[in-house]
Order: sequence, then structure tokens, then C-alpha cells
Amino acid sequence: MPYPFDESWEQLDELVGQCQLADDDQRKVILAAVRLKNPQLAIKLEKTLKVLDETTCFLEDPQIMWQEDGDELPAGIEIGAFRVLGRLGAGGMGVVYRAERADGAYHQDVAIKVLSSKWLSGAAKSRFHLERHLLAKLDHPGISRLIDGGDLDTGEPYLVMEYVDGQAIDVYCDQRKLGIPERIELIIQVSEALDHAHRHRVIHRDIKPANLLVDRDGRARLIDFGIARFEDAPAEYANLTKGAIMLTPAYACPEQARGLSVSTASDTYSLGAVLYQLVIGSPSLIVTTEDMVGVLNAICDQSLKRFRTVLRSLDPPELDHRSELRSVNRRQMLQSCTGDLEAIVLKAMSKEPERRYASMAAFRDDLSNHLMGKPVTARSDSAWYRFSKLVKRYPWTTALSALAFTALLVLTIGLAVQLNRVKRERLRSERTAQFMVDMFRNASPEIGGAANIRAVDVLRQAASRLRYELQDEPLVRAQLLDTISTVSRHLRNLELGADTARAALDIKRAYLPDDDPELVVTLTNLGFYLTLKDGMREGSVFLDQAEDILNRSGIQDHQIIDLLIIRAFALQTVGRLKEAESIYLSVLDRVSLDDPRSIGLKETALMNLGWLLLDEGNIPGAEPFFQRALASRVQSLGEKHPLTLLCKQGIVHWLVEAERYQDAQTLGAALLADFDAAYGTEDKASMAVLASLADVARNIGDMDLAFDYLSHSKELVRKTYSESSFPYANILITESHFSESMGQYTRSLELAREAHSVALALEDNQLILASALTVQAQAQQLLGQFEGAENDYLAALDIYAEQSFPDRPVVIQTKSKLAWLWLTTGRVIDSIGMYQEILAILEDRSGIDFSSYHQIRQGYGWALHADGRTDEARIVFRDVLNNLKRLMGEKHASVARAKHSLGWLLFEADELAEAIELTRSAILTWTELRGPRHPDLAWSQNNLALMLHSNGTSQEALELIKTSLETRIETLGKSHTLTIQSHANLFEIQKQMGPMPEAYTTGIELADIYEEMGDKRMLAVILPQLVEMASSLGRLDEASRWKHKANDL
Amino acid sequence: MHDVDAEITKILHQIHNGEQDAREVLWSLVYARLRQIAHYKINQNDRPDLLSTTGLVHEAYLKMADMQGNKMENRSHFFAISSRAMRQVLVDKARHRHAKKRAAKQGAVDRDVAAAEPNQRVLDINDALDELAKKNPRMASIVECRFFGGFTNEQVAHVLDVSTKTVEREWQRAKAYLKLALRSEIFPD
Repeated sequence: MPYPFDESWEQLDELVGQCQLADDDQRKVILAAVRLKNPQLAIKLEKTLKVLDETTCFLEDPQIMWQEDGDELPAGIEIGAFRVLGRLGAGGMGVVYRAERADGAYHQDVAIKVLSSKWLSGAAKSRFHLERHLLAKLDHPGISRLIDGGDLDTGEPYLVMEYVDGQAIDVYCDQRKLGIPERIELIIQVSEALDHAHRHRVIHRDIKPANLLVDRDGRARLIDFGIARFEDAPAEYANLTKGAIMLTPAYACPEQARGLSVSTASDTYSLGAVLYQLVIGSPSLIVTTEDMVGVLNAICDQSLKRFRTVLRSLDPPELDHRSELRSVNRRQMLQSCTGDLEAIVLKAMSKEPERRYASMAAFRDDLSNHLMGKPVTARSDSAWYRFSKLVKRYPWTTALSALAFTALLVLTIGLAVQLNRVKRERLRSERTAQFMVDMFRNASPEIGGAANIRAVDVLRQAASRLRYELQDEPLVRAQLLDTISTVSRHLRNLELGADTARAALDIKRAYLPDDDPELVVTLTNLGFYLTLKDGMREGSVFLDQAEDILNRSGIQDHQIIDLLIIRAFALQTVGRLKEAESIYLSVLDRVSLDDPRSIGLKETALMNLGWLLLDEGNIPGAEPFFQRALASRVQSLGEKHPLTLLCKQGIVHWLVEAERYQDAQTLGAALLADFDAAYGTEDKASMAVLASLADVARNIGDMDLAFDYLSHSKELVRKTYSESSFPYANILITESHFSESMGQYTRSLELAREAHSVALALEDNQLILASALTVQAQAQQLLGQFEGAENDYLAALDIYAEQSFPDRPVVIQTKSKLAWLWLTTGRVIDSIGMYQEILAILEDRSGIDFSSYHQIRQGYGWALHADGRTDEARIVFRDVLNNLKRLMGEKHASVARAKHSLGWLLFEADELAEAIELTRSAILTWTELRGPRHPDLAWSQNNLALMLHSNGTSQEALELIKTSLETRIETLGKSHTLTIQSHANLFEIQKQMGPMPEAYTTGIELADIYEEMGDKRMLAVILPQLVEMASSLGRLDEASRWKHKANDL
Repeated sequence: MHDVDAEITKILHQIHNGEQDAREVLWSLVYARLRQIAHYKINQNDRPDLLSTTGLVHEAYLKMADMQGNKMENRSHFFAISSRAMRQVLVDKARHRHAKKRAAKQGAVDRDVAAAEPNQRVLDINDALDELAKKNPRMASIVECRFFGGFTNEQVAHVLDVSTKTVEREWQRAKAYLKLALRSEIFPD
């Protein structure tokens, strides 16, 4: 038995009955009790109650209405001051009588509308009163006036309206052979009347010639607000008129045909349609199908025939006849029917309400302008509008779009299944699908975190429903699968997108010819996904097929461009940047700015190209593309449009890469405010900007601010996504980097490990795993865990290689870190080789003058030094220092590091004075930027101690080395190589400076550490020294113990 | 008219001969007449509303009364039966229109647009109502009388011999179930 009349109906009805008598609190108790015993039933109960509480007109409009004999008022009866003459007609709600003034005071013809007694209770009566109330406000010579109203003795309310004795406007015009200007005059009169109604928030909704009467004085009068709708009427009133679709195809606007809500623009459309007909003598829409859906589709989709096209298609006698009815000859007829007048009609009859005249008054003004030969606004329906509507058409917050989408998807599938009339719904669902795709095309993946995730869930559900539903309507199913696939593409859900595309293709291949244009969408989607999966092997085959069909079918250029961009994007995503780049460039060549649809595509290409060049590391090259995209979007969409903001986000990112941190900070902060204003603070876009700002703050050395931004961002991510999501892993990686900058290596490693485990669970995203591995390796390296570090670096590089991501900045960075690791673990030759490989790649590019490049060169310098090529290394170091100072200013960590490095080389070359000066300067900068306890500072302090010691300034050296050791123990741990080094240095200095007991204590500590570390070599060096010191201090038993230990070795 | 008149005459003749009971006769009469009225009304307007109750009663009952010499006890039967008949008429009509493809002239489109959608709806409601009747015949009767028959709660209460409040509550529930059935929502398993 179908739901709800299934086996649990009796139980359900019993409960619903109880709930009907219960208040809200009692209902909750009932529901809770049911939920405990029978959750399934509770769901049904809840649903039923929801429906029960809805106020709708469902079934409230009886299929039959009984009119008791005697209901009809006999002629002669008096209503108020009027005497009924007879019946004029009957409408849905009552009977209309013709009447005249009874008191003979003066002659007045009226129409009296009496609400049927059937309607005496409930909403209809309220509506009738509302109508009376609102119509009473309308006072315009062009509207049949409300004269009086009241209730009959029997209780039925009635309206007395002015009786209009006239002819329908089309008949009137033709009978009198009115010329086109006179016809326009009449329409202007109607537009004034409608303007008046609209100002009182009344929409007529049924403008057609039969309701536009021209009276004996030649004045156009608007009658029958019978299905008028009051803009602010409560929904239940609106529904009263909605029972059956009653519309006249030639005059009904698309939103009426779709059953969407109507507005004053609907009247504009209809009046435009009347004008169309008055001008050329044919209705705007000629329906050739009997099928309802066909008619509705025609209203929605069929483009208007141009005047000339219609007139030229007429037989000459007919054309002459029509010309004669307008008192012109054939040539004049053709002439007067083009240009401005046609533009005005077309604008009034735009399919999209927002493209029509903004008001009746604007419509009227344009008609007057035309009559007076002034320019009309309709002609300036500019390209600007046409492409801006592409992105402006739908309410634009992603949360909303996801919700609307959900509703629509359910509706589409639901309708088709439920009404078991999928064939008829097919065209409709196609439109719905297009609607959804358009909506999501604008919902860039950069925006709308949580909303998008919810949307993905909905899509997944929908896809799984489609697996067993609609089996008998394969093409509808395929089309819905296409839709899900396309939307998945915009949401970047690859797995779902690929599955649905494949399923859709299987169906279409079985039912359609191989070159059917319907295949294009499916092929494109599948090609896209397979490209991402296999790196373009299988994918390109499908993309080629799609392109082939497009080329052969003569489909418009912009569709091919769309396809090209998708192909380029796929290539870009898999790292085949050169190929993607050349496609984008060809797209930019190909885009014709005459076609407004192409402008959005051009902007997409520009943006993607900007990102692509950034990925390539071509930072100066990226700028113009971002700037062009931005300029175009500002012009086409405005400053605050989401797509414009996305462009700015790209530019912030670019500024960070270009190390223009101040600019990045300024623009980023402004952008953050814009994003917050547009989407609320909990949006993915805000998070991305926050991350950029955090990075900026880190780079300008404001670590407090950086952590501030980061923790804000982390909080958002945690709330919006989860702790096992891609964005969260990303945040952890960033935080790990930041901790490393702060010298908190242990914390950095913890965070990296957490990121690693999150990334491992995200099976479909290998790149984040590689990032996590890299940061984990770096933390290990800094903590001296070299083996683990090397494994992780290599694993990350393996992933990058698998994903075919050659030479991206992230890969270069990883390789340079590995080269540094090899250097510190003594694999000097490997390290030099790696550095040379990286530098060759970088130097092959334009625009490498960035700190990252110089920092890599510094690493290379160290490798040269380790290889004994100290002179070369020193030249490199000096050059690096100069460049970094120039690029970053004195107060920058990278400059401090360069000074520190060069200082050490100079020390080794015995250029002591400069070495000390550089190292002191580095120490100052470190202290300022990183505070008194930072490993980098400790390193410089360690070096300076050695320099000063060799210079004889031992007291300061001793203090420095002690501070250095403390910091290193604190940040790196006792057994870190660097800590041990400081420890050993302290021991050396103390040995030479005394006092001996302190040196001896340090020596014992050091020996303990060596023992712990199992470093027998160093133990063998230090133990004899301890024997000697113990002996000279007179601690003979200790001396013998050390001796014993040394012998054991 | 002639057909119906002939039919009514035939039926009345049968009653006279004791071949059929009064209820069935009543049904036949009302149905035949409604169908005829509906045919005109539907084709002229969009909906066969504003029928005359008394007119129908006169035609059916009074003729019968004449024949049998009985006065109707009350009009309850009439309400119930005319509702059922109206339902049948509308369903037949809807099926007919649904199935029939006419070569439409342009002028006919108006009506088709108005009629096609309600046709399917009437059929859907009819099916759902059958299901409801299997579960609770009284509830189904209430819907029949109110929606198809166009009667008020008071009239329905009278026919079914229950309180107006009961009618109203069951009417609300019935609407909810029918609405759900028409939506044919699918429950998560």
C-alpha cells in the first residue's frame, strides 16, 4: 500500500487525531513518546502534522458549487441605490449584474458583483472584502471605478462598479482603422491606468484585449480585476486564484506560465503583448501545439518573432489588408514597424521580468518618447545588462543557492516520479536543471564552504535515488545525472561527478545517436573528471568527442569556448600548465566581445591564467591577468560582486607571492570586510583571506597578529567543516609552519603529525598529504630526526611526481628542503646536485628575483662551503645578502639569516671584525623579530660566542654561549645536535676560562648526553679530559671511575 | 436532453416494475443528469460550478416521487449521492480529456491549458481517495461531499450524522493524508 495509506495508517491516524486536540507542548510529549517506541512512525507523524498545520487551499476549492434557486437576483430588485437590470455573467466567486440607478436622481449604469452565498464564510469573503478595500483606493479615469459596496440583506457582500460600455481595444482599433500612433496612444492610456493600480500595489494579471475596453469617448478603460492580485496580500489569498492555470497564451508572461510569482512586470509583459498585436495584427505567440507543456514552453522559450519577419511572411493581400486597417500603405506599414517601436515591445516582453521596464511609467515614457521622436531607453538594453544578468539572475548567497537548489532538485525528481508523467515534465526539468547549473556555475568553489558541503550531500542522495528511480524514462534520468555531474564539477566533487557522468553517458549512448548534441555535456563532464584522474589520457578522448560534436553541429562559439576553458582547467589542475596556458591564451584570442556571454568566459580565462602563472612561479607574469580580470569584473559586475571579490582574493594571493606584504595586508583587510559583509564571517572565502592575512603577518614579522588571524580561521574551519576535513588539515599545516617560525619545533611536529593523519584519511586528496608530509619532515629535521625527515620528504616528492606536478613552487620548496637535509647529514655531493637542479629550473624562468630564490641560493652556498668551495660560497652569500636587503629591508628574518651565514664564513676566513659585526646585527634583528628565546637567535649567539672567544672577549662569549645553550635546551631539547654543539662550546670556553669546577660539571653533563646518545666517539674524546680534570681537582675516585669507563670503550 | 429523458423514463419504468431499488435509481438519475449538465458547463466555462440544486432535485426526485408517490425523507441521500456522482462525472471527464488528443485550433488552446492540469489532479485525487476509503470510509465521504459535492461542513455533518466539529477535524486530517499521498514522498529506509 502506498504511503501514507500503508499498514501503519490506523496507528498514525489515531496519533494525528490526538495531536489535533493537543497544544504544542502536549504534541511534543506525544511525539517524544512515539519516537522512543517507533522512530519510523514518529517521522511519519511529524511529517503529517507539518502538512496538517499548513494553511493552503488544497481541496478547498470545490469542484462544484451549488446555487440554490433564488440565489440569482431577479431583474428589478434593488441593491442599495441601484436596480438590477439583468445578469451580465458569472465568475468564480459570484454573479455580475448590470444595474442602473434606481432613485432616478440621475442616470448611471453600473455593474454589480455579488459574492455567492457559498462563499459566505472563510477566506473568500475576506478576499472579497480586501478586493473591495483595495479597489476603492483606485481612482483613475482609465479604470472602471468602484462606486459602492455593501452586504445584501441575506449577507452576501457586493461591489458596485462603473459599467463600461465599450469595445475591446483590438476591435475598436481595427474598426476605426486607427493608425499606429493612435494605437500607441491608447496603450499609453492603459499604461497610465496600470501605473496607478501598481502604485496602489494592485496587479491586474489578466491584461488582454477583452479586458481593455475603449468607450464611446475613445478612452481606454481597464476592467475586470477579477484575478487581480494584491502585491502584499497574504499567501492564502494568492492561492485562491491559483487553483487552475487560467491564462491566455498570447498575453501570459513566462513567470505566469511557470507558475512563479507574478509582479507588476507581468502586467508590463501582457500590455507589451497587446501592443505587439495592435501594431502588426498578429498575436505575439502563435501556438501550434495542443499540449499544455508545449504551450507553456512556447511562452517561456519561444523567442518573439520580429515585426518584419511576421509581416514579410504574410500573403501580400493580407499585408495590404492589415496596412489598410492602420490607414497606411504597405511600405509605410513595414517602415513604422521597426526600430524603436520594436525595441520597446521587445523590452516590455523580455522573458526575464527584470529585463523589462522597471515600471509602467518607464514603459509609458518610452512610448511617449517614441511618438515624439526622442531616443528610447529600450535601445540601450546594453550588452552590459545581458552579460551581467548571467551572474545576477539569482539571489546570491551560496547558502541560499544551495537551499534553493536542494528544493529544486527534490522538486524536479519528485514531480517527475510523483505525477507519473515524466514525459510531459521532461522539458520542464531540463529548464530546472539549467537553472541549477547556472546557479552553481556562479558558486565558485572558493566560496560557500558549509553550504557547498550540504549541497554535495544532497547531490549524493539524489544520485543514489536516481539509481533505482525513473527506470522507464532513461533520458530524463540521464539529464538529471548530467545536472548532478555538472554541479559536482562546480563543487569540485570529483568522485560523484565522474560516477554520474559515466552513468549518464551509458544511458545516452544507448538511446541517442553518437553525434547528438545532447551528448556534449556528458562527454565534457566525463572528460573533465577522467583528466583529473588519469592526467589526460582517457579524458582527452571524451573532450575531443565533445568538441567534435560542437564543431559539426554549428553550435555557438561561446559553448566551444566554455568547453575549452573546462579542458584547460582540467589540464591546469593536473599540473600540465603549459598546455593549459596555451588554451587559455587561444580562448582570449577567440573571445568576441560582441557576444556578451563571452565576457564572463573571458574573465574566467584571465583569472585561471593568473593562478596558473602563480603556480608556475611566474609572479610578474600573473599580475596583468589578475588585473585585467579584476577591471573587467568591476565594470561588468560591480565592486562588491562575489566574482569581483574572488578576483581580488587572487590579487591578495599574488601580492603575498610577490612579497608585497604591506599592499597585501591593506587589500586583504578590505577584502575580508567585504566578504564578511557579503556572506557573513563563516564563509570559506573569509577563511581563505584570513589565511592569506596570517601569512602576510608572519612575513612582516608580526607573529601575534599572524596567530590571531590563524586561530580565527581555525575556529571557523572547525565550525564550518570538521576536524577531519581538507581545510582543517590545511590550517594545521599552516599552524605547524608558524610554530616552526616561532622556534617551537616540538609543537610544530605535533601539528604536522595531526595534519598528516587528517590528510591520510582524506583519501582523494594526495596533494594535502604531500604538504603534510613536507611540514612533518621539516619539523623532524629541525628536531634532529633526520631519518624520518628524509623518508617524509621523499614520500612527498613521490606524491608530487605521481600527480605530475613538476616544478611547481611547492615541489621546488620540498626539494630544496631535502637538499638542506642532505647537506646537514653529510651527503654533500647529493645536496649540491639537488641544489643545482632546482636553481637551473628557477633560472630558466623569468621573474625569479624573489626572496625564496635567494634563500635557496644561500642553501646552495652552504653546500659549496661543505664541499670546500668556500670562496665561491662567500661570493654567493654576499650576493644573497645584498639582494635580500634590497628586497626585504634590513628587518627581515631572511636578511638576519643571510648575515648570520655570511658572518660564519667570514669567521672561518679569519675576517673577524666583519664577521662579528654581521652576527651582532643578525642577533639584533632576531631579538626584535622573534623575541629572546628563538633557536635562530641561539644559533647566532652560539656563533658570536665562538667569534668573541677567539677574539679574546671571553666574558661576553661565556654569557652568550650560556644563553644559547639554555634556549636550545628549551626549544630543541638536550639531545639535539645543535644543543650538544652549544654544550660542547660552553665546555671548551669554560675549560679555557675557568673556573675549573664549573667546566668539570659541564663536562660531566656533556658526557652523560653522549652516553645517552650512544656517541662513543665523543665519549672517547671527553672521558680522558674528565679524568684529567677530576685528578687536578683532587677527586681521585671520580677520576678512576672515568678512567674505568674510558677503558670499557 | 432526449437521451437522458429517455433513460430516466426507462429507469422509472424499471422501478415501477420493482427491478431496481430506489437508491440505485437515484444514482443513475443524478449521474445521468449531472453528466449532461457537466458536459455543457465544462465546455462553456472552466468548471461545472453554479449548478442548481433544486433543479436537480426536481428532475430526479420529484419525478421519482411522482412515480412512486413517496416524498423524500430528507435530502441527505441526495447530498451523498450527488457528491459521488459528481466525482464520477469529473473523473470520467478527466480521463476522457486526458486520453483524447484533439487537433486543437488556436482558439481551443485556452481551454486546454485550463483543463489539462486539473484533469491529472482530479485523477490523482481520485486514486488517493480510493486508498483513503479503504482505510476510513467516513473520511473519504467527507472529502467527497466537500470537494466533489461542494457541500458545507454542516451539510456533511447532517448526512453522516456526526457533529460538525468531527467533520471539520476529519476533513483536516483527510486533507493532510491526501496531500501526502499526492506528494508521494519517499521515506528514508
